[in-house]
Amino acid sequence: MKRVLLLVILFIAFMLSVPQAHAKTKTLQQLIDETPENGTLQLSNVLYKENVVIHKNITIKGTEHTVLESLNQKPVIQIENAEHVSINNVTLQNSYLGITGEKSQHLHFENLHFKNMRSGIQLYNTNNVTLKHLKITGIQGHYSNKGNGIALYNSANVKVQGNNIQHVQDGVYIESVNHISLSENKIDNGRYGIHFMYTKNAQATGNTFKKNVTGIMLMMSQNVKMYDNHLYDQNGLNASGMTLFQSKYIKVFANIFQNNRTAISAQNLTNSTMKNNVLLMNQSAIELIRSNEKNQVKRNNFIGNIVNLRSDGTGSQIVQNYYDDYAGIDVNNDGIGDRNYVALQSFGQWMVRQPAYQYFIESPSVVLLNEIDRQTNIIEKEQLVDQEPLMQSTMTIERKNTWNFWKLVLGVGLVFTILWFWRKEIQG
Amino acid sequence: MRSRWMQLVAVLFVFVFAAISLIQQIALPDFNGFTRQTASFLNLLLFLLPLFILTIGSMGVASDLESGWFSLLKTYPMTITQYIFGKYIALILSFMLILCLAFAVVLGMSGISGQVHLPLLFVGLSIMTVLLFSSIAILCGSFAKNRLHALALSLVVWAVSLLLLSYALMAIGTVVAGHVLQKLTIIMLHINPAEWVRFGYFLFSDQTSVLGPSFYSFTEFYSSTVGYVLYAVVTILWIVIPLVFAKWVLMKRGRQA
Repeated sequence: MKRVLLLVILFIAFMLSVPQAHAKTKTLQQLIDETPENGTLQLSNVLYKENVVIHKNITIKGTEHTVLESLNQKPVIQIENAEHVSINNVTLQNSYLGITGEKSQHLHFENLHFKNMRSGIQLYNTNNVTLKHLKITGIQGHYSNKGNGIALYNSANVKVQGNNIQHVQDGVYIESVNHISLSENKIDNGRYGIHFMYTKNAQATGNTFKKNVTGIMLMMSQNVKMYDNHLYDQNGLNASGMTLFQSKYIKVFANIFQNNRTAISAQNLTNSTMKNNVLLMNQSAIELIRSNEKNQVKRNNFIGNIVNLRSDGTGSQIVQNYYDDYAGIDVNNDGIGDRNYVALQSFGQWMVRQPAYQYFIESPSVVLLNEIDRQTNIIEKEQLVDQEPLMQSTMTIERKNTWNFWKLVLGVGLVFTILWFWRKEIQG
Repeated sequence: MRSRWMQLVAVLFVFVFAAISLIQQIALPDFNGFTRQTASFLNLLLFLLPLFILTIGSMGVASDLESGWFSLLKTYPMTITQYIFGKYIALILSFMLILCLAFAVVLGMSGISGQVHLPLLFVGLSIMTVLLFSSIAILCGSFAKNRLHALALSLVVWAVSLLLLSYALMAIGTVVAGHVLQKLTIIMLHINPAEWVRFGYFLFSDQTSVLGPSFYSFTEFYSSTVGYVLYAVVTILWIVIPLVFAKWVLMKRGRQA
């Protein structure tokens, strides 16, 4: 009898500890409807499996285990024609689409966690939006079967800050948005980290992009500033740190591009500047296609790249960059090399025109060809020429000098053993 | 190993190998992927090792033929297969010793600086290069009339496989369509041992995307289990066929003599 009683007590304790077991007297939609205009709805540790629609000004606050799930392909939360909506501290999971907003203003989403979602947030015709400290994890599979982490259409005055987005199609998709700021976001394992389309007056700062097909894809946009971003390991097929296409007044300042297939691919760009960037150990650092003389590549650090600059023959201003393979000297000690740096390589140009040539990249034959190019291209005056190459990099590589006693002993021991064996063999 | 040439080669290879490891890894941060460091390592491997193996290996066989040592050996109860196999093993072991010396120096240096290290893949590729080119060196030696002829022949083979075939293909690429160039490149890498080793690096380091989108289907195939098996088969063929051919050449020469 005691055992049965103990089992019953344990069962009740277990049921009480599980959040799903909370008795729900009302649906989330009923709770929202009952909250007065401009009121606050405080949610407890409850799992809501429903789709809700918000038409009013409201603040929804969840707790650590407030979980929302959709039962169909409709969004979990749908906001329409609202003036002030704030949602904090809620988890949305296992659904097709998290939140949609349409014709609304002053939307503030903070500390939301989207788990196993096809798409996170979609906003249309919205104004004054803040998306802060969101964590969005998409579904497994190919990009074509996934949605975007955050998608913004025809909106204005948007702030996207401190979000962590992974395994989605595009981390942040932006179309026809005016005045948007994206900062301190971390986006990885997607197709495009940030995808700008027809965007005006945008800035992306301090973001980190890792293992996407393209870190930042910018198309048909204008007046966009991108600085202090770290873009690394975009090294799959056709991958790039940034692809800038048919845009104007673009500023790419002080970013770090590391180990990307192509760090910056600029195509049909006008009146744009790439300045003070560090281009470190990329396969191709900067690719200029259909460029023009109003584009500037200035004071960048080219270090350890296989191809520094390549183009289809169109011109750009290339000035005062540091190149680690520059062989000139600085007699007057003004910090600028005395002869031009010519980045023109026959092989680099061929690769732009015929992708099949990529097979030979940095092969023994191409290394020799590049050396010959280096000697013969000294007389080049126009294409990919920097007339004022810097002698010193503005970047320092931090190194940890750790010495390993056992490796040293093993190495030296092996060397002496081999030499002893060899000597014995000679004498024998 | 008693040969002065072999000793000089050992000193040169170890010095260049250690210097490149040290300079490249101190100049640049350590990062996975196909970077200028890995490309330098790979090119050093492809430029120097085949050159040394081909010249020393072919001249060793040619010297035996020229001096009459081979004719003397034939009077002993030893078959041509045993002679070729013995030469092949001796050549492999000699170069393995040089490689071990180079790796040991790099290991010692990594103990001092902590920056220098040798990727395991390069150890494997070095061994593969020795296995492949030793076989071709024996073939070159069996063809040669004398040591000078062997030297010339091995230099031609080295230049063709490292440089000339690639340049020829690049030149053809300027007049043919991209898909034709792609197919010719695939053929070329199967019939060129240097390119085969280079392709092996991309395949086993999971860096096939470096070769570009034009080779996507091809690299996808070789990244599968069947592809790995085929890679092993082609590699074995590159070792066996030159040795079998060398035996046939020596037998033919023996009959003519």
